[in-house]
Amino acid sequence: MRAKHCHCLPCRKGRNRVAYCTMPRFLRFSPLALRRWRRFKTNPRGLASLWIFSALFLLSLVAEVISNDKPLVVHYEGKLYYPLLITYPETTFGGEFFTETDYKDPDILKNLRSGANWVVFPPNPHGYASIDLHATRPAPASPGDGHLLGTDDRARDVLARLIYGFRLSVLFALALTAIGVTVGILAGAVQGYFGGRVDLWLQRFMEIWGSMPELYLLIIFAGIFNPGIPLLLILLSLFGWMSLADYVRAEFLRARNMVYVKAARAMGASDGAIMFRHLLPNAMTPVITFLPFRISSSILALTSLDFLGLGVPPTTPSLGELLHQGKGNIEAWWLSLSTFITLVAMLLLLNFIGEALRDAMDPRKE
Amino acid sequence: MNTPVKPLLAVENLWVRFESESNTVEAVQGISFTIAPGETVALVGESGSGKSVAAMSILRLLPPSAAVTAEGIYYRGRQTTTLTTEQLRKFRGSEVAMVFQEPMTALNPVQPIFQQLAEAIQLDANLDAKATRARAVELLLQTGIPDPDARLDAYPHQLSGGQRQRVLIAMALARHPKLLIADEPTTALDVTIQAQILELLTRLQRELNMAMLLITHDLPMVRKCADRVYVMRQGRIVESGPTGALFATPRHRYTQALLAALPDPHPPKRPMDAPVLLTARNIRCHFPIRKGLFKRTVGWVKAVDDISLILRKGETLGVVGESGSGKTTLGEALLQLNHSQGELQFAGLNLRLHDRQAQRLMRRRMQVVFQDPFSSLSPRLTVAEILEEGLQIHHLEPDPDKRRLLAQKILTEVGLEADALERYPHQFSGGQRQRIAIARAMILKPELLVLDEPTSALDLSVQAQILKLLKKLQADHGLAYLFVSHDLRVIRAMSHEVMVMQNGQVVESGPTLEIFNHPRHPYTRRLLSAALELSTGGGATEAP
Repeated sequence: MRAKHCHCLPCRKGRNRVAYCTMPRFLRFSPLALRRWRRFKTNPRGLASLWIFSALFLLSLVAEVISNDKPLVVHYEGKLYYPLLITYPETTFGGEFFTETDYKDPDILKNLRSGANWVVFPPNPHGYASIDLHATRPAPASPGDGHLLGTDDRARDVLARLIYGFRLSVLFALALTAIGVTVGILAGAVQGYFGGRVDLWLQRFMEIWGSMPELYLLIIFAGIFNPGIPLLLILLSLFGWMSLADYVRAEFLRARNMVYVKAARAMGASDGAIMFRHLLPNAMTPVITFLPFRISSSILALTSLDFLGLGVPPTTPSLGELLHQGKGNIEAWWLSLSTFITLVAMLLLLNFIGEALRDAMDPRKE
Repeated sequence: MNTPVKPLLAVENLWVRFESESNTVEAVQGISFTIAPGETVALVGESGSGKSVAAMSILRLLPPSAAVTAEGIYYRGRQTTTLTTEQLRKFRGSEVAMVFQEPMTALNPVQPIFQQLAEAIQLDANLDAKATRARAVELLLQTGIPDPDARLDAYPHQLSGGQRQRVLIAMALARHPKLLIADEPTTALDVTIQAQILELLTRLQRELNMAMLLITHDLPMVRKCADRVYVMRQGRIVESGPTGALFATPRHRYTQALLAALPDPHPPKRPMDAPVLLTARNIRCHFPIRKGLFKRTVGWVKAVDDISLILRKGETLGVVGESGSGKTTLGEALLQLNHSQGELQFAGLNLRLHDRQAQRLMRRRMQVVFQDPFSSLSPRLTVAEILEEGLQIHHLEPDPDKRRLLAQKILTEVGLEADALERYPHQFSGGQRQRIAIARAMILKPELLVLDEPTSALDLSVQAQILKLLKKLQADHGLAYLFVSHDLRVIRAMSHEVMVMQNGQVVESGPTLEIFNHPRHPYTRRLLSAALELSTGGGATEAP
């Protein structure tokens, strides 16, 4: 008898005996999961990619603090203001209008910096939609004048749009993947578990559904509706679940004839309990293995649609839209180059993670 | 036999080590053995004792992850560990041939057996097509396959298990080997076929004056045909000697335990007038055979055909038969795990009339233990989750702490430690897993337990422990068992009543003693003689 020690997260070094561990169950990993994690960690490239990608993603979640045209803190006439959180009218800082303060207005800035007053801007003092009205050069302008990566054809800061575009891409991809995985698992589970006629009809349905021209449908819908993130999410989800359903179906078909399923039925377990308690954990290998690749393909899908102009409206920060601008302004190398590097880095990181994960989950190593 | 003849094969100080990412297994730890020409030597041991690995390393058939070191493997005095690949290829088959356990997977399914035989024959001698065919026929005749000329064009799936094993033996004989390594040659076969194959092997060995290395865990079989025995345990040889002497006076404790583990030849005493628990009348389980474009039903497979039985509280009904006789299907029909017709009454309730909900509630009272403990436990659930699931499904204990206590209690009752609760099935041995499976059934306090070959996947000594546990549980809780098995010795040790099945029908049934001592039906007689001829005792006697 071995492995008597607990391997939950809080005591993962195995200090506590299992019987005395008081941590909730979900924190406790199965030995198999631990073994896979250890195998994942032996791949330095994958591990580094995971850390870098996670760090970038977490940073992008607080993009407002990193890149914004509103100051983080303003000290004005003895009082502190937090423009990032609260909207102040211009009159607060000695302006003339009751509208929201434009902190880039030279007059306001002068007020904010005079005497004992001070103002702290984020590292990159530009929002993704703010147009530099005070630019000295025509847009798109090459890097310089406070724009690290230059401006795009509407005089917006490229770095800000990249940061927000990255966040949007990843969030969109995560949402799309989550929906696709959920639907795919459900469809695959139902097909694989019930088999027979259910399986047959659903398979035929998927064949018909899968042969629909996805791109044309997108173009048509983009014409009918005003395309936006929710619509794109729905449209891409309609087709994104099928590849995964096949894998889950195969795993369920294989596992449903196992004796432990029969044992569960003999015990009186319901179909749902058998599917999700006994079969699903055994069918997760292909799901997890494909996750990073699915995320990267979702990012690419959004980028290509935006590039073609079928995606999000132009105000939304998007990598595809930046690439499109780069194509339109071929001499503005900072547009296409910076976007290209961002995209390649993002997809490369995801693929490295996926590769390491695939090796870690390799059933031949278990 | 082991006169100072020069040995045909001498293995000296053989070590085999398997290294993987996580651990190193010393499968064979310095064993030495010899085989004289024409001699049958048995390598006996339980699963994992390293007996197959040792035999495979003679022909260097192990995967590259195995590190084999030996002082010497001498064949007719010639060192074989230094053979080149080319020499090794000639050595395999022509000098030493091998017969494997599973005749279905050892034959190529997409080639007719003639092609597979011809391959072996042509390696031996450069014959033309006609001569090859003649030689193939001769080989099949030698192995006792009827109508060999027609059989040559059959595909492996068209042959029965016994015939496939005969073909494999014919392939092994094609190149006139001096030594035949038989790795569990009968384990995958039915009892009656087992006896035939064994007889064939001993006859061929005598006729062709081959030596044979028999690898097996089946002690009665060893006793019947081996000249000398090596007993292996955990990679070492613990005892060796001539068969007769070793069986009469085993010296090593392990050998003694192994011999003592043979099931008790005395059937248990039947309880006095127990109430009837389960009545089944005219149970039928027919599966349609569909053919053609429109899948018309052209016939029926009668897996269970018109079987009636009565099971009393505290009583064991043994169902015995060869594979394909429908005994497992019968067990599943009684548990309503498949579609069957016929009347089913459990404790006075008609099981057929109830709706699904009520049926699920009935399942608590009728539980099942399956044959293979490796596949019958959900691999991703901990033992605690496996045990508590039934309690949750049937709302027997809403308080999680009390559920945990119940699980602990049942675990100690089946002889496992309480800290097994947080572990996963793959961390246990086969016998321990079977205990968990029994605990999973027992935690619901059932009245009837269907035991579907509960000991067939286990080693002999573990099998004895499980049988003991089952008997104890029956005595403690007054359980009724439906004991399904192909192993007559186990059936005799466990059952009060026996039912013999063949092709979905009951050919004979009655009290255990009567069936074993005075079998009436010819099939029962054949079964009994095949099985018990190999066993230690003769007929059954009343328990003292």
